[in-house]
Amino acid sequence: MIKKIVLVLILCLFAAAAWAQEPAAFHHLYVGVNGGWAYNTLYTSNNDAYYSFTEHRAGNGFSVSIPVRYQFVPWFGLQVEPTFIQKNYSVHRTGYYSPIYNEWTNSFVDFPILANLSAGIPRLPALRVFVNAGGWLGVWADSHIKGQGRLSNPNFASYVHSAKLEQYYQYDEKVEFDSRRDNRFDGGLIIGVGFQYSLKACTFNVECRYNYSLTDLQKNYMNEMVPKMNDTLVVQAGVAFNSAIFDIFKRGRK
Amino acid sequence: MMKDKRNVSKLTVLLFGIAVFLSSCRPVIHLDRPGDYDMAMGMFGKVNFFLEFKSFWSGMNHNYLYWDIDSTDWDRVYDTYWPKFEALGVMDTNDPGSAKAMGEAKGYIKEMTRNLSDGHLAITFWDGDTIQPGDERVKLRPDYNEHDLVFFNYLWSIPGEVSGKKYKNWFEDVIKPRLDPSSAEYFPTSGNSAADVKDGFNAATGHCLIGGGPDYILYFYFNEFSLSQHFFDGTSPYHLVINQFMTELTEDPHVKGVIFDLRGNTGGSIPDIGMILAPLIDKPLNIGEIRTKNGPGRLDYTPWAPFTIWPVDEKYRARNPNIPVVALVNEFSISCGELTPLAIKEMPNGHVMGKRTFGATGPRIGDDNPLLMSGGPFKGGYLVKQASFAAWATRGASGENYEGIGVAPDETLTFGEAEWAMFNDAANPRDLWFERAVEYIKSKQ
Repeated sequence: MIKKIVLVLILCLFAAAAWAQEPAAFHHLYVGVNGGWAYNTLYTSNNDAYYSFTEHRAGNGFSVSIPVRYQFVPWFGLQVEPTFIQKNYSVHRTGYYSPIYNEWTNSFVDFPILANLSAGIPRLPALRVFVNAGGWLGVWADSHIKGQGRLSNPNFASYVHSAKLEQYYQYDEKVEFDSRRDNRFDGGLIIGVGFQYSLKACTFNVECRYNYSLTDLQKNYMNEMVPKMNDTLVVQAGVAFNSAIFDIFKRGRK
Repeated sequence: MMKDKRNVSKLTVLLFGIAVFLSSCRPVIHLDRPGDYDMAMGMFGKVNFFLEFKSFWSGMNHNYLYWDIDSTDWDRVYDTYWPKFEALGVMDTNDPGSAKAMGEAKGYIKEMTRNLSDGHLAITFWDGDTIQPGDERVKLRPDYNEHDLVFFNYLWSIPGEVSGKKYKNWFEDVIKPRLDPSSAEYFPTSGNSAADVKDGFNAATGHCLIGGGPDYILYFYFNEFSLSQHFFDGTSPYHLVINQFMTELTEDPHVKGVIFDLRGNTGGSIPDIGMILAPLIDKPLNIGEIRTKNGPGRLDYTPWAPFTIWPVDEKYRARNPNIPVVALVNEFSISCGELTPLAIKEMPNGHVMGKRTFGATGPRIGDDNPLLMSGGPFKGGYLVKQASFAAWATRGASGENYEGIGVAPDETLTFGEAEWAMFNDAANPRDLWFERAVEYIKSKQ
């Protein structure tokens, strides 16, 4: 549902922007929407070897954000960008244990603060390359686990078939946060590179962004704790509007 | 244009600088497997006591299952004990002083694990000695009675003499006369003999009694859950007994009740629970929930999943549905010997009698399958050869914990001096618990 709403919103904004095609001018304030794909891997300090036949796999998710940027000069601005982002991963047992797995869908509400540095590209005055650099603070809002475990259980078809010892069970449910274990405070550093194309009332952008967590998903509750930290690559596109959009809407009403 | 090029160069430098900074921002923890800490040193005849400690502590830290309910602060254990092991130094195993040091180290391990709640926890040392904190804990119970060991340590079904004590055939001479002696049938495990007693433990054995006349009760004693193993082994002396019990249960319309005598039952194969109970239910029986670990953290667990026994096809069900099912248990009813009464308590026609069970309800996995579920048993180094404990945790249908506590009976029975005297009466030995079970079944007719 969220994906559909975001899609419709983006289409509307693009339509409005296309209607507003006039040469770009410098504006101070930009407000927009970004959306994209989030590819998350879990940093565990390379301890897979401790657990035989275990493989950590990256997870796919999505990210939606509302960037608000104040442009001081054409090449520098500051941006805050409330973001809903999924940082998913899974752990699979391999080989003899292969049907066993755990897949986490973790949702975060993050608040990045970014310095936006941009530079023009020769012979393409409307196109600029930019770098977003900064950090974020946020909250681990929700966690969901899906998986399969194995149990030698008394789950029989009949006692004469009791040689069937191995049984599997599945789960697919919300994870109740454990205040002893889970660190729901999220924070880290962001670096992103992208291109923006400016029109009179808006700029379109595509960006590849790397979110590097500095916080662990766990509180420091035990010695020899294997870290669990997210590394999230986000590929996103969006549009940001400046104050000229209001002029266009006023003109439209006339 | 030159200005744009300079800006791009600045951005490149900035990115490079950030990348270098980020690479140094994260913790690096490298775990060795418990058996890898000092294996090489042990093989060369030396023992490094600190590494032995580290190996064991770390294995428990990541593989042990009950940190969420245990009162032991394992980090504090580390802080307290590493200096003690460090002080023992590194010794040649042939050094005359090493035996004393190894003894001290063993004592420290015993102290460290004394209060861990896992009833299955067993730590085997280099010399073959094994400590089991649960065994010590059960002796501290107010209602503990060493007489209960009679169901546990001795081959009480074979007439003869074991370790200087004389026994009669309990089932033939005591249980059977309390049914209808003229028509009751007794099916013992043939082939058992005093020679089958090893270290005070019975070999796998089972005894089925089928009452006759008005006391047509099916009584089944077995000392461990290896039923399906022996059932499918036609050459096992135990096979006929199990077959007789299952046949009576599923085919004889006269059976008025079932008694599972689990006193001193040391547990075993979990599917056996389904084997004996599934014919007695007509809809899924949820006896509780289970979970295992899914990560190296002490509190990394899978969600709780239903622990269910499913009914068998109708043709395999008991001929008389809804007959009373009674379990006799005591503090030496262990593991499956506890999960079975836990299931029987959930049956509408089930009734558990006796004393609170041992408190080892988390299913185990073979020591040869370490790390199956990111938790469970591990092989250690030189000092601790093997640490065995549960790989799954169990809790009751309403979320109750039984680990280290045991399953309470529906009806508490005592086995004090008076009962013990009657039990050993040479002329007229009586088992009051069994008699109470028969009385209960009769009361439900």
